[in-house]
Formats: sequence, structure tokens, C-alpha cells
Amino acid sequence: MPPLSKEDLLIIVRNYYDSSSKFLYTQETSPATKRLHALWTQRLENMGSWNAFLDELESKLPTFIIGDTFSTSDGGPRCLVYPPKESRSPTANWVVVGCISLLAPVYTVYGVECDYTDGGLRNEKASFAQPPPNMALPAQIVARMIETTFGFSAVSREVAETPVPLFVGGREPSEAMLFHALFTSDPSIIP
Amino acid sequence: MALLFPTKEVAADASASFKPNRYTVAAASHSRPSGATAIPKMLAQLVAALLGITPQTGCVHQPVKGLIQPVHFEFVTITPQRKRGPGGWRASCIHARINHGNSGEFYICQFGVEMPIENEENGAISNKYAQEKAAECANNAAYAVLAKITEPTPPPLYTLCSDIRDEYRERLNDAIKGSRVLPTCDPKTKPVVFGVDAPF
Repeated sequence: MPPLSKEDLLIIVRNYYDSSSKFLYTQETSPATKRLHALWTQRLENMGSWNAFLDELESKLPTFIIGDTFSTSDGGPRCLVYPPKESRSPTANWVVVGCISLLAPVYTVYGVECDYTDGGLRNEKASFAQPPPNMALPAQIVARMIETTFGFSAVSREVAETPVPLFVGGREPSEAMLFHALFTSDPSIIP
Repeated sequence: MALLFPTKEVAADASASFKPNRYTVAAASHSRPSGATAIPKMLAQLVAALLGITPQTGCVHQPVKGLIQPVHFEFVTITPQRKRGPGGWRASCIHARINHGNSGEFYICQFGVEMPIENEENGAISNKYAQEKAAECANNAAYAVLAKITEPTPPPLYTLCSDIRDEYRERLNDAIKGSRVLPTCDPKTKPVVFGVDAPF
């Protein structure tokens, strides 16, 4: 199957997020949100493949900390690869984030840059730049494993940054991009 | 602009008598102040003082005071943890009915309050701790937004709603990393409804 074009993805995401503000003035769940929730209901009933993927990721990166996170308002689940605690520095740490979409067979890998103080991550910022050398291998492994496990294709940065005039999570149409619709509206928030 | 205005019944009863899923707080009624732009801030400070809300950063280990109480956050597990480590997900839902003075106009502001079962910093997060932080940060976010107000909020009240939600998102994520505050609620959650008065 040929990879989905930017136009294909724009058509797809319109099914799952509202373009009009009408939904903000009613307590009823909008049809678009109901469709997104229906996808999540299906996924949550069968988390086997996702959990198996995380198990395998853990076996390939035994010194790293593996986690995952998702809200049913997101476009899909995210896996997280944290650097080992002993290798963290007060500044300039990088957490690899791998996302698959429930909306279309696409994925992306990005990073969350952060400081590390008092045993916790601070000043988290999403980054779509190349990872630093110590996290390059985990980023490659995440991407390769998503492709082999789920058969999904990577979304280019240019496509991911395409504006979408939709209400996505807490984002207004003027600030939403395909990335937010396909994956998450809060890329810098990780557990 | 607005604040969480408790009725006497709420203030007296806040920690003891809420019933899961059926609780509705009657909104306090008060007259609409006229004109002066300094009044909102004074009003905010007065009400905040009455509620015992102290502005804080990071929502660190302070007792929750004010209208929203921990018990109102009825978290349900969306997905359990696969194993130990950052993961798992819980969600709750608040519908805040913002009343616009005596005009009869109101707006239902939805807060989908969601967070991990375990994160990197805290380890496993108990339901009790999740509820405490969710309530504390909600009250502090409302106070912080209110304290910045220098003129009356024009309708629609959606702007006020999204300002509080943005502030709340930031504070809750500072308190418990990985937390989200969203304008829609997870379908597994049941909304808990509050009355909230805008002071104009």
C-alpha cells in the first residue's frame, strides 16, 4: 500500500476532531469525539500487541527505563524511553517518544528535552530535532520496531507540521497541526 | 472575572457529604457590580481569603481548601499498568457550570482531568494523592486566573473556561508529571457537576 499523502491524512483526521466550536457549547459528546472514543474503546479492549511491543522494546534496551502514556483524547498511544538514571545530567536530557496513530497507519518518533533535578524531570520541551548521540540508538530501535511490529510508515516532519483547522485536545484550530491530531495535543507532557 | 463561589451549604459540607456521580452544587447568587475595574480583583481577593486559598507553585503538600474537594475527582482506571514503571492511566470528569451574574446565562466548562498511575518522579501514585493534587491545583488555577483580572469578562464565558483550564493543565502537570487537563472527558468517566459564579 502506498504511503498516505498529506491530503489523505487531512481528510482522515477531520473525522475525529471538530472544526466548528459548536461542541464547546453543549454537554453532548460530538460525533467526531465519539468516533475517536470508539477507536480507543477497540484498542483498550486489546492492548496485547502494544504491551508485547513494550516488552520487546524493554528487552532490546535493558539499561533504559521504558514507559507509555495516552489519553483517549489523543490520536494514539506513546511509548517512552528514558535514559538510565545514572547517566542523567542536571540539564540537556532527552527522552525518546515513539507514537503510533489509531487514526491512520502512521508513526513518528520525537524527543522531550528536559532538565533533571530533585529526582524529577523539569522544563520539558518537545523537540523534533535529531536526538543526541546517547539517545540516537534507542530512537532508531523504537522506529524500526514500530515498523516491524505494526507495519506503520513514518510521517515526515513537513507533513506533521501541516496546520489543521480543528479543535484538537486543548488546542484551537489556529494552533493545531497534523502531528497533534494524529498523535497527541500535548507532546511535551510525559509521565 | 470569575471564581468558585461556594454556597453556605457547600462550605459547611464540603468534605463530608458528597455523593458520587449525583452531586450538584447550587450556585451562589449575588448582584452584578457596576463599572469599576478595580472591583474584580478586590472581589477575587476577598473570596479567595474566605475560601482560604493561598496561591502556590507546584501544588506542594498543602491541604486542599475551597469549593472543589478531592472527593469530587472520581478517578476511573482507563488502563492498568503493564508492569512497574511510568504508565497506566486514570481519568475523572468535572462539569463546572459558570453562571454569569443574574443574567441567567451560563456556560458548562468541561475538565477532563487525567493522569498516569505511575510516573518517573513519584513512582506509584495513589488515588488519594491524585485526588488531593487534582483538587488543590484546580483551586489554585482558578485563583491565579481570577487574580489577574482587571476588567469584567464579556460573554461568552468560554474564554474564562479555557483560561482556567490552561492554567490548571500547567499546574497539575507540575504537581504530577504526565497529567493532562482536557476539554473533553473520557467516556468511562461520569461528570461531577459544580455551580461556579462569574462575579459579573
